[in-house]
Amino acid sequence: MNLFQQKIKNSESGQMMLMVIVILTAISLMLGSLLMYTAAQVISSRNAVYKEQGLNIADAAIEKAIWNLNQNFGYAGETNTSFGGGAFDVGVTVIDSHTKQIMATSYVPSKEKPSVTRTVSAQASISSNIVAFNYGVQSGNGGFLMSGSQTKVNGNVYSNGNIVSTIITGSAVAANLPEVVTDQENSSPSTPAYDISFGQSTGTQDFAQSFKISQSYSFNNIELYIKKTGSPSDETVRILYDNSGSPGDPVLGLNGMLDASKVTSNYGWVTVSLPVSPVLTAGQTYWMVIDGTSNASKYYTIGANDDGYANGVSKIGKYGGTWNSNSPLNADAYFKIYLGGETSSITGGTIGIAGDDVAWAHTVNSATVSGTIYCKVGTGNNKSCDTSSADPDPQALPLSDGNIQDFKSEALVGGTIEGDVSILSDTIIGPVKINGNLSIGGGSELKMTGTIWVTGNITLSGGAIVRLDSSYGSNDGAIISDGYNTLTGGSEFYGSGEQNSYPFFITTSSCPDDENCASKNAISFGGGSGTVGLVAQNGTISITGGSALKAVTAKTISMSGGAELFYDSGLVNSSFSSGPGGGFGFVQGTYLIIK
Amino acid sequence: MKFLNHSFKNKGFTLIEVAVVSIILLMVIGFLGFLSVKHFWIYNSQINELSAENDVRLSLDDVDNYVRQSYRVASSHDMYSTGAQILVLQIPSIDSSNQIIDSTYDYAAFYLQGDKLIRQIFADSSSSRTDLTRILASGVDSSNFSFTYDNADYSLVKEVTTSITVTQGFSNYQRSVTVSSKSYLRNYY
Repeated sequence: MNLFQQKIKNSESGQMMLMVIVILTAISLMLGSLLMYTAAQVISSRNAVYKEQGLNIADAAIEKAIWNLNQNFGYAGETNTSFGGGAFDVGVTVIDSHTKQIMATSYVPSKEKPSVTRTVSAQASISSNIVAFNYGVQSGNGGFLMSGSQTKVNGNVYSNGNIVSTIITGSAVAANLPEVVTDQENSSPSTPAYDISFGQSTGTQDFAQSFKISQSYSFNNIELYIKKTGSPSDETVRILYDNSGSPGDPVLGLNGMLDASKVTSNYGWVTVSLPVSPVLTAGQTYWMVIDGTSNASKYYTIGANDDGYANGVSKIGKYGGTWNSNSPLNADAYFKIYLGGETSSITGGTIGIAGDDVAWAHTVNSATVSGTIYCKVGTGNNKSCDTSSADPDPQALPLSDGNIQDFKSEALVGGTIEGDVSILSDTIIGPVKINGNLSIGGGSELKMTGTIWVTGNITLSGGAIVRLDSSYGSNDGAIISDGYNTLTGGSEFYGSGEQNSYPFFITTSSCPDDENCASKNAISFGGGSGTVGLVAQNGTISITGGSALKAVTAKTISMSGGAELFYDSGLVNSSFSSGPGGGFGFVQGTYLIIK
Repeated sequence: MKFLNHSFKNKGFTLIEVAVVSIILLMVIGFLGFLSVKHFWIYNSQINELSAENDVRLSLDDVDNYVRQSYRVASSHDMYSTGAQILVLQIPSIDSSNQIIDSTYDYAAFYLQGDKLIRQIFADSSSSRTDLTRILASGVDSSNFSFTYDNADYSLVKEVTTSITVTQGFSNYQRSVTVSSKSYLRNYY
């Protein structure tokens, strides 16, 4: 019986175990499947985070590559650099001398066992300004003026004004100025509210009105709304610089004549023609002064309004003496200033050495030309005018205000030096702004490692050397100034050592057409060795010595004393670089997510 | 007698013993049941939240990738016009070597179709991209989905902000995730 009971007992044992196993298996399967699903979701979520992380790492790699390029022009890339919870590779390939292709691949969490790989590409370009110097020698409407029998340009000349030639081995083109326009006018209402009489007594014998022209075109003529009392004599009309709000020194002896016979006892517009057509600087204050004698019964009266002209004011007084305000205080005379409308000419000299070297202007006189003379009027030439071509149109000068501002911005990246800088031993600087003057002398060398902006004047003397750092590669470098540049004393100019790399002196100065110029030109170049570019679009460049020039551009260019220029003829594009101070930048429009 | 005594002694449970055991068993079962229900609720909620997060993240990532590469926000293309819930991007076309083709553009339109966020590619014939329509996310709450721009003139837009709410699951297990992302047109110039 005990044995029977024991058997029964044995047969029942293990049932609970079986149940437990079944239940545990079921629970395990449920938990396992749930855990697997959860794990899959977690992995998926983590990969989504990795993808975003990888893209950010790749973007960061692009930025770092650009930074590296600015430290080392030859930077070619790197591999397996740890960053931000992952790693990246960078490859840099050269597209051209200014542009590089950057390919960045990121790996998250590591390159050895990546869960996510992202690839981004972009281009980086050195922050250069490509300036098209389409004409090696190009002058504005001030013209290109050569003197001295041996003064010579080896190449072409393009002028928006007259050309006075001695020897030009290429073509010479003198474009007409734009059509005559009324640039400044004060003539409303038609009946003047005020009458300002002058010439009755010594203290009020002359009348002055200040003005600013909007475009640097040549003066055509002036009109005055004027009448006379009695029979005053002719008056001289002078154009003067401003001197602290009053008429100052004369502009190049520029005088016109107010013909008394054309003025009546009633108001009328009377034209004052000027014997020369000076090109004044836009935006600068000038004065027109009607200068005569005094007589209590023979005088002039000019129509005026109260502050009708925003760019100037009138005064009464004596030329060379004291000037006083009119009544009302802001009275403005009725006047009109006409600009432009002049035709240009080429005068004298030998032009061209080949059959396709031409002289082309409205008027060509006294020239010996190897090729065709395209002109409408010509006398004393070695051949007659070919009238088949219209007069040439003026061409814009190559640098815009934006280009100038870009150069200045590049210089500012390197900080500012306050005060004058005098370099008397070899010095490496740039990019930098010098808030003062810059002088280099004593045979010392200035090596430029970036754009230099000088707010004052630049003086090179005593065999000074200006050289671009090798990091400029094939780019040009710029020294910008707001004052006048005096480059004399056998200075030497060198690029980076690579072909087509040159230093450029660029000034915004309008000298000598400015009372602060002390009779200096914007750039006075006495020649030297090496090759340099000169730009003074608001002023005059005076060249008195022989040198090689990459390009020379100015409102007025004058060459004298047997100076001789050599330059790259034909189309010239100059690529300016800010150098290693911070040149490469992301080229928008080239960003691509490849993977 | 000895046998009977012995048998009786082994088989017997007192009423108290049975009651105590029963109560304990009920408590254990109840506790396990409670745990199971709670666990199931938490688990489903989390699953739905993860799913919603994935959809939101992947769709925003996709929008962000295309915005980054875009040249412009286009006012319209094909039948889609850019607005608060439609984004049309003008993207530089690429060749088979992954080089940008100058002045050639593909278009990507992002829009809602029901509760689905769709990305549709309109590729230029010279582009290595192909015309493609893809569902980026499901369960998108149309009342909480928007594109906003930094300029009312679409041709001047340089920055796009995308806000999206995705709801996954049902009943008590439903979970919503709302994410906003701001992207810049790196190819705008």
